[in-house]
Amino acid sequence: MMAGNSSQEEEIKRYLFRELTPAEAERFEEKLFEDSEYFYDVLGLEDDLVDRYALGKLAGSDLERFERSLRDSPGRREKVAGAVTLQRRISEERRAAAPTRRVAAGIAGASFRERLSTLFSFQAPAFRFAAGGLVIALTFGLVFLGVERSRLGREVALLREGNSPEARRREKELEERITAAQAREAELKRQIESERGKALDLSEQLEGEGAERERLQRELERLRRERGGGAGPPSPAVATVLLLPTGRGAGGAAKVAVGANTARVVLNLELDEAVRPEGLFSVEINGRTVATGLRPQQRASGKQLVMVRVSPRNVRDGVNEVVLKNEGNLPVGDYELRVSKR
Amino acid sequence: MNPTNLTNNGFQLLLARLDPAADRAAEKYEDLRLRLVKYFVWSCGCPESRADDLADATLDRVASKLEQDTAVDNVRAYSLATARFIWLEHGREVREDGWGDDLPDVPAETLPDDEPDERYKCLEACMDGAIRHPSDRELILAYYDAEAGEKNKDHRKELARRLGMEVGALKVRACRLRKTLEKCVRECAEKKAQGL
Repeated sequence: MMAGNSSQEEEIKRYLFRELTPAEAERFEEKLFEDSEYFYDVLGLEDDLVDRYALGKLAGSDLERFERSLRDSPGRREKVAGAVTLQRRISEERRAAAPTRRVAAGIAGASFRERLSTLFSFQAPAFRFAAGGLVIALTFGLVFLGVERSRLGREVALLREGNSPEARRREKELEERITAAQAREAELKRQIESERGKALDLSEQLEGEGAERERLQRELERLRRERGGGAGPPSPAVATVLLLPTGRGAGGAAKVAVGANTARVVLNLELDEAVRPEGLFSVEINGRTVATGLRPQQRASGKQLVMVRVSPRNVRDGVNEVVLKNEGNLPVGDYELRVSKR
Repeated sequence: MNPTNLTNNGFQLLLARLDPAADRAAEKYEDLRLRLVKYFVWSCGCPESRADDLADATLDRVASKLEQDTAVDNVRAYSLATARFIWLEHGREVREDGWGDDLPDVPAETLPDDEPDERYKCLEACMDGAIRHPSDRELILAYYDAEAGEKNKDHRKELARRLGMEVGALKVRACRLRKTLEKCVRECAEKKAQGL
């Protein structure tokens, strides 16, 4: 981004949000073609705005203007989808590589133990030495968990492929490994707790490992259900469900069955009558934004619906909390979806 | 828009006007093309895939004019003027194509509806395929690490220092890499959505 020139930055935003008059826009475009540095300033600012929007960190008038600009710019909507993916990749890279990268990033001349201590900024020299030892142990523990997680992932992939005695044996092994990983995780957690405040990054890593392990467990359960299945109707390739705002549905949460062959889940969210069907809406499932830039559509009955298509991975087995948000990112509807994953 | 046949001669003339040195001319050609793509996206609201086609049509037209000995003082400014003209032509054609047709209502366009996971797989593939040099892959991941940028406002300055580059040069490099990556991911996601 440009160095501290806020009026220039504001001018660029006005261009990107298409708020300039035709004459102003024409002059701006001429500058874009003549001034290389300026062109890359504009490009860079757009990237930053899109990344911040993708991470949910854009706020205030910038957010409002950005979302308004999305209406008329399919190019920018594509860019948001790309930014969500890129930021996810960056976050996974950071999570996966942080301990090993930190270990590798040395301070010339210092011992391995001292480098680790320095990285975690322990103040007292006597403490640094002891704390460094703990951090080394935790780091290697976490690296080991990372390797273990990756191996579990491969095992799950193998399980997906077959129903042979060999696959069943592996399933049992996988179960044992998960139990062992749980024990190691609990032990590491306990150690990190005792050093709370000094190893926050490791704690974040551990959280990531724990989440991944839970995912593997869910995957394993799903595989078992699929194996044991065979009874019951086949699940649809596209599962569609109508959701009414919480409190209005006579029978509680809407229900949908999601099977191995379900490629998409289509949620039709009925707007509460008090909600104005104007502007663009976004949808969160279990606290995670799954779609933005959604426009309500009117049904023959006169009801307004927001339709969103999501991957089955975005919903979990059991009750899911679905929240509809308006352009100002304010919740305008709560919904409950009960998913039965087969 | 009216098709223009790009000849090798016209293309060579355009490159020579951008820079006498062949390697720098190629770089400037790509740079000009990127500006045109962004012009069609930012000013006209085109999706990137259409903006790509319109940028190529613009450059073909400019090359053709050079071949016809049209006086062009400033290639960049001339390209912008041509792009505006191409956009007007394009708008007219779209209107004429639709004239009299009983077109169904087009549902409101939302975010691309490909699966996020498919897009992520595309990103992984493009990271290896389109961004070939490992140091470039690291650069793009580090430069656009928004959380690192929030924690440390000098994050990019420090990255530039670590890579031995000027901050401005790093920005240009990162922007170009991101464009390459975005294009690759977009095309991959479109193919997957079409079941190809």
